[in-house]
Amino acid sequence: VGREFDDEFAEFVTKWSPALLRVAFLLTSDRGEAEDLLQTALLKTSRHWSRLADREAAYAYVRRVLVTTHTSWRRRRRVHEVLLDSLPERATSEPAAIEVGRALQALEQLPPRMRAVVVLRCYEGLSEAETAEALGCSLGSVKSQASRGLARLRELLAQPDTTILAQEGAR
Amino acid sequence: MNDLDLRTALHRDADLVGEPAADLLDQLVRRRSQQRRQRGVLIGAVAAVVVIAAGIPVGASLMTRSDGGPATQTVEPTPPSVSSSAPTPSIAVIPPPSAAPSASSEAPETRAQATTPAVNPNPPCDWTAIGAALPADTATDTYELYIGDGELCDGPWAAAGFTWVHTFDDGQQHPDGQAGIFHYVGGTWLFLDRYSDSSVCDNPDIPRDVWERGCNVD
Repeated sequence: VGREFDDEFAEFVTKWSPALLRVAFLLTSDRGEAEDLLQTALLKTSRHWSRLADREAAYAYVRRVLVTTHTSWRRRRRVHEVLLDSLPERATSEPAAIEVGRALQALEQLPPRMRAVVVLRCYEGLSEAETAEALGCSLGSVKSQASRGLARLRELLAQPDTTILAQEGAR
Repeated sequence: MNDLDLRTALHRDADLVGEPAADLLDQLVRRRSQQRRQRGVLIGAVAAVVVIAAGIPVGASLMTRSDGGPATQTVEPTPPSVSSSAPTPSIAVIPPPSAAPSASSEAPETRAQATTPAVNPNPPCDWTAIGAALPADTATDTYELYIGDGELCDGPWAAAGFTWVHTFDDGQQHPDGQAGIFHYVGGTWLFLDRYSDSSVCDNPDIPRDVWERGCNVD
């Protein structure tokens, strides 16, 4: 491993991967997908590691890669979903629906970009400006998405548990 | 539910994922070597295509040199590997250039000439054509180029912002500004989705100004 990756990078992975995996999990709601997302983001980062002058900012860098990669994955998948008349049974997500908490279920109802804004603002505690920088979008966009996303999340969490699951199944 | 409750719930749910795999670094090493292998295969395939493409004009000229010989007098026996595969790609790859329409009925030399315009170093900076390269609209998502925000062309490359509007189930619309990279290939502008493929921005052929506008934004 030491020869394949820079020692500092290996150290970074060991230290920060638990926190990054949590962010990935909030974005995906699925442990397997979260691990895949994290690995993809880390591999992308490893290619540019030598050029990352500010190692202290590396966490923010990987988190940004994590979010943009996830957004693009979702966009690609949504295109496929639109092509289908009706979604197949949600067999794969059944175990996750039992395991995950309600906030995670509610997060699943948000579109990927809005979900990322909520995760970065609410979970990671970034400011609006930092969130805009991480997502590569305008401050206004973050403000509107955060406000709409949080309102939607509260609305969903106010509903009975079964309602969220029913809405999820109907997607 | 207030902000603190929400934050607490998110932290609690995030913890459900547990710890990363103990062999995460080993998995990364395996994936990296797998990617290298795939890249090697891809490069090999591209090289093979280049070699085959380079061989077509040679083959074509050899065929014309054999005029009058028995092989060209009878049209049908022409080997399928030469007659069907050789001309088709060159015509299909050459889209709009002006010489193309006459190419189909011409001799092999004319076809060889027609391949030249496909590499156009200075394609038209036509924002209507560039905008048309964006992903097709769907029932829930629309994509539109916005002009007047520093869009630019540089040779066969272009960058511009575009608006992606997503419509929610309740009818509310959410517009999102994004940066797009476009490449003129084979007479057509193509949209390179850097959000789907981050290696798009690793391409050293992208001119600096286009890269700054389309890639160095997040």
